[in-house]
Amino acid sequence: MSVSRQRRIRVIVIVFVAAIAITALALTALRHNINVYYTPHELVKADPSTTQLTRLGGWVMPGTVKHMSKSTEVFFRVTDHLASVEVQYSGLLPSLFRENQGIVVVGYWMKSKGFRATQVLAKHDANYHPPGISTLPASEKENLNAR
Amino acid sequence: MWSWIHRLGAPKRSFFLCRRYRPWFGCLSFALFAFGLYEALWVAPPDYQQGEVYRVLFIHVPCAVLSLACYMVMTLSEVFAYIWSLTIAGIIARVLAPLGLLFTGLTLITGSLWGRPTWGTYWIWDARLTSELILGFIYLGVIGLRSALPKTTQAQRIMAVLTCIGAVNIPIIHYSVQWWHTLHQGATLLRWGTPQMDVSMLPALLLCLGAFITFAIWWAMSECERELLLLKRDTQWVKEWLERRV
Repeated sequence: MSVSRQRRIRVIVIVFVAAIAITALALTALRHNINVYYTPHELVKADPSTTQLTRLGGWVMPGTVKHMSKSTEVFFRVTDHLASVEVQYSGLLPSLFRENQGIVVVGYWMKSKGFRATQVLAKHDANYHPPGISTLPASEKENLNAR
Repeated sequence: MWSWIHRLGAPKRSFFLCRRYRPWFGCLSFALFAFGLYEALWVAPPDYQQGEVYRVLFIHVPCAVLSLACYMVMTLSEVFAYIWSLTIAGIIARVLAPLGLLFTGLTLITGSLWGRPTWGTYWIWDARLTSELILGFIYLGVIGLRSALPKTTQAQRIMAVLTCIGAVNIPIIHYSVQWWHTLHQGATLLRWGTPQMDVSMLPALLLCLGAFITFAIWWAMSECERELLLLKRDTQWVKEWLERRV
């Protein structure tokens, strides 16, 4: 192999390794800031100020959804199975909103008064199948039983 | 082995290979897409959670896969072109950038159209969406820079180094949904273990994926033909070929 070719291979390898190293360092430094939401457990620990727009993500805790009559106001708890946070929201809920659904709420952390949401976003998982439990893969059935 | 690659990569040889096999890829892509769309819109059942709207996935996923695949092939070709001075590799790298940008744009558009009815928003600055947007900007940068630079060895080196740096974004896009909390769901197809999709929906996705891959090959071949003709327009074989066409 010619000398110039060896030199070119060296250039590419060095550039590639350096780029990976720099990006890894930057991403490690930013790892908490890249998350698009706090889980309830993280939110309580991070305790952001009441004026800072925050996002909270987790599952809608079963049995905690309370709709107020004659208004669009709704109360529910969001949980990550380590901690749970009371959420207050007024507005239209996404069609995927229901108990045990993964959601992300955008709003303000009012400390002891819970989380005041201005927007509710629904997460959906990466499982796709027709309605009916019989077609679920075995691992998914276990998950459902565990709930 | 190297002499074999050089012979196959000789401009004249690659031009006639493209001429010969391109129509097959075109027909295959068309047939796969027609069959895939029929499977996706009529045969596949609605989803248990999202109903009918999940069908966007049959376009969104192939576009996303190809936006990443184009970049990987582009980087490999660029490195080949730089280290082994292969003309055809440089041309492949050049034609793949606009194609990758097209797929990135389609991924972002179909994704946001899917996001509105399911998540409740067109856009969120989560790691997956943002890194895919950055991929689009990297493609734009590559295209802009390449058209601004003269076609010299120096320029070849700059392009090879810069596409390599941009390639760092590819694993970030793929693993973003595992490394950070995102609104975007995890991987369905490109994961270890069985796909998280019911067998009644899988053929539609695989057919559409095949259709998009063959389309990408067809497009790249037709662009390569054009670039090769332009590059070798003063040679005897191009003149002969043109005369036979008239």
